[in-house]
Amino acid sequence: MTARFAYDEVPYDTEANSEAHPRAMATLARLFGIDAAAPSTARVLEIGCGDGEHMIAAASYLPRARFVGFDLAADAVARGIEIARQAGADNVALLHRDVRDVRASGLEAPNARPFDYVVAHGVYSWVPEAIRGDVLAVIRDALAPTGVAFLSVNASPGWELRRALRVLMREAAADAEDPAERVRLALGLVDELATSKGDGFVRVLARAAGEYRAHVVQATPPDVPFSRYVFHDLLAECNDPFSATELAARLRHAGLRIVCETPLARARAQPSSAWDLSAEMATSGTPFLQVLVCRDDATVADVPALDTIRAMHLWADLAPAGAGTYRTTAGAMLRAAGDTPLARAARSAPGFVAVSTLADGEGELSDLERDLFVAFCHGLLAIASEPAAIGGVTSAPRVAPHVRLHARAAAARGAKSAVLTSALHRSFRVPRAELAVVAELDGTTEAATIAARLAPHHGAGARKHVEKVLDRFARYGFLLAEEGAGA
Amino acid sequence: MTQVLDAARLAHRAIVGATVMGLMGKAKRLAIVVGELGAIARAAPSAGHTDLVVTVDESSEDAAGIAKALDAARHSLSDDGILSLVVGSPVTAALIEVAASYGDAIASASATRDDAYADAVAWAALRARSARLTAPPVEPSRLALLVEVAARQGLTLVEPEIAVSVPGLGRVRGMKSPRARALLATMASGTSARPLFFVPSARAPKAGLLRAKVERLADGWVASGAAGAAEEASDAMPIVRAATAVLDDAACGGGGPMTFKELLREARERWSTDARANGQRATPSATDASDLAGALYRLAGDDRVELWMRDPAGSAMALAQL
Repeated sequence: MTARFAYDEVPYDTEANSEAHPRAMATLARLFGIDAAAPSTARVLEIGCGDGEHMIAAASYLPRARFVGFDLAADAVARGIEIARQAGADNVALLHRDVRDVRASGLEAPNARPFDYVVAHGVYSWVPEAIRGDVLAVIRDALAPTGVAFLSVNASPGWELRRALRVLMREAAADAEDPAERVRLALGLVDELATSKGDGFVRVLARAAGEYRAHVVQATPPDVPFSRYVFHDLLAECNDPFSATELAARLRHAGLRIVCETPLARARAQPSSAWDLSAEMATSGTPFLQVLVCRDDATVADVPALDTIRAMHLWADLAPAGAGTYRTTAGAMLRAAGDTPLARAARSAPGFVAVSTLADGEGELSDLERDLFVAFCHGLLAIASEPAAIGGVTSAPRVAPHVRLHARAAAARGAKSAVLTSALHRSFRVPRAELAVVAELDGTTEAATIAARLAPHHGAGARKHVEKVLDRFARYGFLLAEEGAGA
Repeated sequence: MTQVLDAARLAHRAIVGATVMGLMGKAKRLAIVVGELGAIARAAPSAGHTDLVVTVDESSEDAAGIAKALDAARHSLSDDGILSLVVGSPVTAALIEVAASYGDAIASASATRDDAYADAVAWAALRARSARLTAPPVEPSRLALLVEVAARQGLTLVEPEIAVSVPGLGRVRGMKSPRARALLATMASGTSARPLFFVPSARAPKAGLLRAKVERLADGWVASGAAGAAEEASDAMPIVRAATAVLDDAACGGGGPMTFKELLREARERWSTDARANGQRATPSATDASDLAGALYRLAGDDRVELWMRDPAGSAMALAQL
């Protein structure tokens, strides 16, 4: 493994991260009093971008924004460059760079700083300690005065049980050279631990092993030869957790500070003037922490300013579920009887609705801000600093070129499913039967024509199948507005 | 409450482990030296007179310092002498620290959750409140360095089968070397202070594998541990349940350690009395002693009981702390 960079030897299955999207970052930044740049025209940098999947998906819906990413994995960058070219994402630049070189010399124009948004997802915990200072220095150097960065790390104390598993997994796999064999041996040990019947800490570890096993199944795509996630995570050469206190100290040393965790913790919904991230991490036991970070000379509010929500937009993906009840695509059930703001929002579904248009008067608006904030903290509803140019089903529906590219590629290789990313930067695993529809959504082909093309496979049910897919994709935020974003 | 480098407790814990592993010499009065690696390197104990050197690693010594300390330790050992390095699990140390800082908040939040983390913190909270014995946590890379340097100094790490060091763990393949077994036992048991043993390489068994016998505890003493002995699991053997109840009652009454034989006798009486009260019959078994010894050894690893193989008052050892 030392002969070749591990991420060139074994590719990492990158996915879009919705909290690391400029829109999500801008929303939180503004909640905390930072006048963050408009995502639609922002400059975005990603450190450790891999094959650029996260950025290309975002860029596909933000054609006037500029995305720059760099990574040490040459193969991944090369793959990403080709995907960006095929998707027509000419607002994306992917570079093969070492973060130490970027710190020393910066990036050359037109990819040079400053940036409004910086993303370092899955980097900090997984690089050698000697490089971590470079990562934070690059973030600090890249950020515009009101810029914000996304940083993710493994989190102590929640990660401690995984630390125990990691130690033992690496030991179990120590004698194997082949990556697939290393993963097999490591997961074999996890399975053995999971079946232990002992008492005390043995029981705790057995439970942790069982939970980790389930997590690996969820994190590993179904069509890969072995779990590359395990290879690059618990089996990685470098993998260290950080407590909130330690992370804050490191950031401070680099001229940065934490704005907030992302997504916001549910406990934020309780009115409180004090917020202790360390206490939240200890009580939640989360093994993974994502934070929004800014320069230490930026002005940041200690608590979210709810009155900023009135200038934001609500993503209304509310499908009627009978008797004044609505279901979101995430499965949440919300009651909105009568002429309430939520009922008004539901009438616009699927689509973004300006919050300010949902309330009658200041009193109702204040209550609405509070209610939306609580729902936001609980992950029930999405609010955004600016809307995405997406809408409902039209006569000739259109998805982003990047989405069509992935759908066609999956169909061409006979895949049972593919992961597609919406304008909300949420990823969904879409089955083969629906991919065939998605691949046709180029904005010029009518739904009836698509149904006719699928008739040989679906018979008389083709039209209903197409309608069902279009309705679902509209609610998931895939369908572009007729005069909206995308090529 | 924690105790760091409690020389007497460290020594007794090492003696118990060495006895079970069959490593302990027969000397009636043991010459024991206890000290951190650096202190041993500086003090260079007298050559050839020490039955047991007990040390902990504060991670302040580099490879050369470790070598110097281990060389000094080896030269101080008697013909039957052994070195014990007492280590803790870094995961346990972190969990106990968070339980100590956020115990109440986590307990409240954990009331509505049911996962490994909630279990871990509840487990750690019990230990955070007790006067358990602790040793500096050992990271895998540090353990590898210690074992490697020890080997160069003519000292070999020896370990028993995992089934003895971590009962209930089940079959875990691939952990063949003594270092791997030590790592597994340290991490999986959640120990705060586990003695590892190094013997002069010429005396090391094949593949560093020791034949452990928990029955050797029958000549020792027992008391309830800082976290309480009570064995409440419904599937606990009756003799074990009775014995831990006896120990806890003795502790409540201010009693000191009792011999294993006394404990076995009183546990049988308690079991018999409780069984009669429930209209049942207690049937002593030839395996009671070994069953009880096995359970006590497991509970000792979890700080639920304290064990001694030499007089707890210390009369059978000459202890020098560096």
